[in-house]
Amino acid sequence: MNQKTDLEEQYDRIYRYCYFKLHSREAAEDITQETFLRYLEHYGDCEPEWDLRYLYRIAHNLCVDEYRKPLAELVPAEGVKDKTAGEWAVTKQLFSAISEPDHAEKTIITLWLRNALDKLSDEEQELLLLHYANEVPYNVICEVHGVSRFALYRKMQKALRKLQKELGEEER
Amino acid sequence: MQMRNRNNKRNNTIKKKNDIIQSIPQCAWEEAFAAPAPQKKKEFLEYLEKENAYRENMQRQKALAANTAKASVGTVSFMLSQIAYIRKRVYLASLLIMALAIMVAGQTGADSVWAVAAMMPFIALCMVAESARSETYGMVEFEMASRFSIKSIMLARFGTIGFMHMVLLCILIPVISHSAFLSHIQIGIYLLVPYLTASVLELAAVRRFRGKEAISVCMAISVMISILNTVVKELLTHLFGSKQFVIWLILAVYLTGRTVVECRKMIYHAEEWIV
Repeated sequence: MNQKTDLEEQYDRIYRYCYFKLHSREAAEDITQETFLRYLEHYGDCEPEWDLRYLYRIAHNLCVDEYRKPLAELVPAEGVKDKTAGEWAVTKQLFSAISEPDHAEKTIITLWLRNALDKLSDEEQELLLLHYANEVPYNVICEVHGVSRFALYRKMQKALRKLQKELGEEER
Repeated sequence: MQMRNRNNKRNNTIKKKNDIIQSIPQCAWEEAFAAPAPQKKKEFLEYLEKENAYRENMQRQKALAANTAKASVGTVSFMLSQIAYIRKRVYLASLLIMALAIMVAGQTGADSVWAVAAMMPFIALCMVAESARSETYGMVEFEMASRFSIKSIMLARFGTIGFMHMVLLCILIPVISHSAFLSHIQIGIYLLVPYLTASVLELAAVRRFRGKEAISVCMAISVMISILNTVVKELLTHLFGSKQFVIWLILAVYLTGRTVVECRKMIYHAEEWIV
């Protein structure tokens, strides 16, 4: 199913996905650009709208190839390592919440969600990122991960149950 | 009762938890998975926009070319359409010379074939002058910008006028054979040789001379061949016997080949403008 979306919006979403997978700004940027270039090379003539199946499949495969590179080649973003990127974001948001009371509620929800998500596995986080943050339809996620809809549904339900449990504990 | 209360409590808990997920706004999800701002995003997006615009332009051109190809003219239709672009004076001149030839054939009796053969170079002049019209009047560059290539147009002109002349020749042969004591083939060959000789020399002249000077040279060649034809007939009568007919046949075949070569050279010469 084709989704008609703005170029910049798609760039942000693919970049977000790649950063989540690679935890490196430079690598994520490179992979994002490579994704779009390859998409245009192979599918640019076919459809005028972005086909999310191909876009995410290319991004996913490029991220996997990047994973397989020797560790020495992977360059983390300056001053940020793996999951501490999340911590940086949390700290920044805390400071902004203090300095801008109007955004406090939104920030608190974000921090609350961020902390709950950190307790989930990478695969579960990826599914939630794709569906809730990037608004990717289920059929596209199925194609990208190579699973059936039923298998995806079970994984998603499991992830949501865990998230609900974490959020419930946070609330308490 | 207790079971119902327990179920209600559980359903309320599930609903409450589902509400928690549903209540999280989209922006919160995006913020939760936020990444550091990319550094080269703006440049890349600008490049991508240009690429997209270029691709769309290419697709539009492809579609246009496909439409043009669909609307393309068949060979026969194209040839028929070119008939209208050949000047009327060419048709008139050819018909006039043919009418004159028929009159002469009726008047001169046995020598009718030589009288008509003397007129054939002027019929060839009509074809060469019309085919070289583009170069004579400096229209080559203009015609290069037209829908059909100059090569196609020149071929169409050669084909149309050449075909018309062959038809005229086929009409002349039986008329002449009434009075001349020669076979149809002999008459055809004796008429073709001066025609082809004039064609070969005039096509070569058109490539060497420019503008109206080329037409003057072609006219001089036609006059020369016409006179030469008559002189040869008068002075070398033994060349026109039945035994010597093979020489004329070979000459006709050779001149036909040379005419084709000269036509190709002329088309190639016109294409050099494109290069």
